[in-house]
Amino acid sequence: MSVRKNWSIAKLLLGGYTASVVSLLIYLPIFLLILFSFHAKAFFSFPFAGFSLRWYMAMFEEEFLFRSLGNSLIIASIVTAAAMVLGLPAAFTFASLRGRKKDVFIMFMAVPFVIPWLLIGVASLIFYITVGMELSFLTVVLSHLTYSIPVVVIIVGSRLLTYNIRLNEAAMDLGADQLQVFRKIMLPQIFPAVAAAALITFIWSFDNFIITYFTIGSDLTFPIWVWSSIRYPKKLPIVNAVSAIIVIVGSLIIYLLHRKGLLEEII
Amino acid sequence: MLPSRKGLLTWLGRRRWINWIPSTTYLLLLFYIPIAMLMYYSFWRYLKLFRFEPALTLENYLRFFTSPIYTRVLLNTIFIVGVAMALLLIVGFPIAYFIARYVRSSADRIILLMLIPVEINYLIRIFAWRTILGENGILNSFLVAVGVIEKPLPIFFYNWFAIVIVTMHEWLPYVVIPLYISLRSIPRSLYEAAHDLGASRLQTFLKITLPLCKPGILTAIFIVFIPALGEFAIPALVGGKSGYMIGNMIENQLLAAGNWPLATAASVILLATSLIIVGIMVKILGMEALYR
Repeated sequence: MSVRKNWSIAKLLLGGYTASVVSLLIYLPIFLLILFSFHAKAFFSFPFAGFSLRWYMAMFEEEFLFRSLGNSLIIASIVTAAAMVLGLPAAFTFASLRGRKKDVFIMFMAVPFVIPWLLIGVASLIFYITVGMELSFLTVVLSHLTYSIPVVVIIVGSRLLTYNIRLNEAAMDLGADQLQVFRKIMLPQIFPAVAAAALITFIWSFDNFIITYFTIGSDLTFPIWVWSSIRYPKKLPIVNAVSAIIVIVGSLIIYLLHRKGLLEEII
Repeated sequence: MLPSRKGLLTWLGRRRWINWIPSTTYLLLLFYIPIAMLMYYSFWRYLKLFRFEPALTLENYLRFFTSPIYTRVLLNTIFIVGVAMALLLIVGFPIAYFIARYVRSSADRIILLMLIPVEINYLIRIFAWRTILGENGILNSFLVAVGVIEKPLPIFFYNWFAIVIVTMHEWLPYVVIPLYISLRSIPRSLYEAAHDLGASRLQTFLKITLPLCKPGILTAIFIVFIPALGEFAIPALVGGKSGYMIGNMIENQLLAAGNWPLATAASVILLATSLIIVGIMVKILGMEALYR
């Protein structure tokens, strides 16, 4: 009896602790960001000087903002599609290998993923300049792919490892050909992993700053626009308003995907 | 007639060289060759601003390791990330324990709740911390209101500890997830057995929970430590003078000071540090840790 009571006190304490850490460390800055996007004044400080939508209005006068958002969406889409085309087949290779070959293959694939991405940015910049490629969108896409392909191979490949191949055998016993097996049995099972890989690739590319910073040249993506605007006190509230919209819309999209059961693979 | 397990996967995989040739070629051309080039430049000789000549000299490495400034930057980086990592484990562990022990059925939702906000819009969230830690921020207003200090202090922002806080904000979910996965796999019967045999809470924690959690702790270090070592946006935005990290030094030498040989030498040192950490992790956890 006393043990049980102790546990429930522990549960309450730990629950309260979890709630406070998550709200203070993760949600507080985001809450403030959204709050101050409605601030009537241009600075982020207390006391709060009243609500206003002026920064949301001012947003529409930022020509570079919309251009950069468009660019980021295009880059993230191309990166996601190309990472799928290049990475999915390699995920099958990964799942089919055994022993030492598998270790070598995964090591080769995983290195870009396990080093600081700053180094991808630096090495890319040096490489493009040395071979005489002009820095632009193209170089950003090429560099984002160096970590995105491993992401796809690792996420989808791990899922394939646990795939029960007897399902294929059963389907073939029942007269299905290999294409049917792939389409009707395998694809539905690995689809959540593929979707998760695509989502992660897209978000990471859209949000990527560190590699983009070194490889973009004079073009703009959204994080680069934020970087160049964030230190101007005049621009900061506008950056904030856009960010509030992106945080809310982005969270909603991820939440909806979760409701559809597409995120099980990530957690 | 029936293809074996191996046969089928072979059909999908190995025999079809077209499956793995494009991706490996891609990485070879656009990752491994650039990294090799980066290493090569680190042996060149620096002449003046954006001017260097091919050479095979160690002078850039010598300059890095003999300069009190650069070695300090490296040690400072490791120190800041180390403090953040230790605090993350201490702060994250009870959360993972709570999820694994009491609310396992809604674990997915809780983790997602932590994960969603940190996946979006990294730069502006870093800056949002100014509202809390800055001179006119919440923390100062609070401390003045309760009478701990008389007027707002500019000490909470633009220093190394601000980097620690922002790094914790950025990575907390990625520490909780592996810890939770480790804790989840400890069967409850072990705790009951320990309790029956008269072990105290502390003993149970030290002898059962902690040792069985080792893979989770190591995975968390692996996930957080390496990217945090190469961070340069966080220190640039909130770090101030005491938060100058190796990422800032590399960026500065590469783009502003125009000293590619020194910037690449520092990059190689950062790469070596990361690979040593990866190597230790793989040694302890096995290669599967990379994809499990």
